[in-house]
Amino acid sequence: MTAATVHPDPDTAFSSTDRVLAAARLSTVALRSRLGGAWVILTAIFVVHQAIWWVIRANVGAEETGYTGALASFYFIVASTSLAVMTQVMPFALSLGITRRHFYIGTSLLVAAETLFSAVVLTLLLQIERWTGGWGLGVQFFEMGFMGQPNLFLQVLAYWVPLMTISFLFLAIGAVFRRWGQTGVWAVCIGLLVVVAAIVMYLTWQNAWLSFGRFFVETPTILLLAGYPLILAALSVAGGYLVLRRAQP
Amino acid sequence: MSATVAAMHGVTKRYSDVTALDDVTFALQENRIHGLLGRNGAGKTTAMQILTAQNVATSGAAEIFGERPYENARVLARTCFIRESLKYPDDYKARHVLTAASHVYPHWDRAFADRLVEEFALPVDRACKKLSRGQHSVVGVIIGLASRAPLTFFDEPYLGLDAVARQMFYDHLLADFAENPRTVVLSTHLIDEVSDLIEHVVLIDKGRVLIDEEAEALRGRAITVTGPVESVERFARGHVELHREQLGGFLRVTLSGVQPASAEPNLQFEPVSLQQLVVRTTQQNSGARLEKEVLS
Repeated sequence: MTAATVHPDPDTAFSSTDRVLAAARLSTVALRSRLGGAWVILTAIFVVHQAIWWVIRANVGAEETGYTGALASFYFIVASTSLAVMTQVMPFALSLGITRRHFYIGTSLLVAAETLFSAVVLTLLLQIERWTGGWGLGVQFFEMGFMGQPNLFLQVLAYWVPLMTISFLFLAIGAVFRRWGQTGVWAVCIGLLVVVAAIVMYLTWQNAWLSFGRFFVETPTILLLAGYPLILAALSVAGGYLVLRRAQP
Repeated sequence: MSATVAAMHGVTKRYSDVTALDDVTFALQENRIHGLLGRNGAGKTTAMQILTAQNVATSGAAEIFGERPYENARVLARTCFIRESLKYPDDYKARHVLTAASHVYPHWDRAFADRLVEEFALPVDRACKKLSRGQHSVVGVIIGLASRAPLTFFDEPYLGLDAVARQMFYDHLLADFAENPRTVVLSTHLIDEVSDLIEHVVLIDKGRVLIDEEAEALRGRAITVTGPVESVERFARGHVELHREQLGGFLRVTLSGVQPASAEPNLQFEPVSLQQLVVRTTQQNSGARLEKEVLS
């Protein structure tokens, strides 16, 4: 036996970009079923939503523009696919010699790109909704009453940032699951509940509900949709990485 | 002349109530097929998880390609770890899994993978969660072979595979290994099946290394001696006894490090297979029937 040790082959140029790309591609191989699935569900929700409104219109007659928050379900459907990436693809990635760091970066970039794509499609659908006077029924499905922005760029941002933020949050929750299992996820849920309860108690105690409400009315919706959520998005990405860094599949 | 590709230096891994690895030290040499043997729960998987940075040691150090593996992309990029318990994403079809793996490995051999798919009759358009246990194993086997990773771990890759499919795996492993030498670690219970394949044996039991030797040296390591009780007892005296069975006036003992004695007409000597040696050595370790000193 000898003391010689084999070192990484200097000839095979190693690039972090390649590894990040390979990590992202672990999740794009089944892109159609994943992202497609979310859009199929959204289509079903849309059809049912419009059918119900059609009946309402038929019964009550044309009234002012109607809207619901049905589109919000799409945000969580998309985000849940991110959760699945973390809980199911991550162990596979590690088996193939991809580091947690590269997996997390690759997956986050992919989530950002996918949600941007969805935001662009939602923006296009919103334009159709406006041109057709609410799908001929006076019903806002994609506008939800408040989503409208003055230009297409801000419109895409208004859809993209919340979609991406919720997905990042779900990625982080997936990271918690990978590190501490179901117990960890419950602990995080309870932790969030305590934080929300504390805020509610504080606002009530300070009689601050009025100014709390005023903040949401007075702040431009683009800041509420695409500004402040970025803080949560950044926290989720950073926190998720710190959690995943020590996770063992 | 060989060089170390992976090594453990006094690695101990403790979970809250179990010591999975206890001061484990061994080294794996470049371009060889190693057998990592041991019973269920002996610590084999933990050792491989630590070497591939899926797990961290409580103390001691693991290294691959001369570096610490944890979050070290430069060396991990050269590994592939096929685990028996690995689940593939639920909605992935088998071909998704293979395509994904092909993007990760620069030396992935597409034609080889396709040929294996055909030979093992893997239904590539079936969702992974609907694959049978054996088909699930085939996916791992194909990734492990076609990836051509310089350091490839197979952790019981054969679950659910029938004898024919297992033989196909061994044949392909050996043939491809001859053309594309790399370091392979094969963790298995089916020692008889792989005994011709493996060149170096690391036997772990209860988190400790019992054997770390060339397979060739081990093959002549132990013999069984059968004969009348008295003659066998006389012959066995002073040797390390791994096992003993008595049937009436006849005694059969497994001895380590002994040469057959041709001058003993009453005694019958038989070589001990690698599997027998592993079983007896493990049993001896468990029972501590004899002196602590195992296989010098």
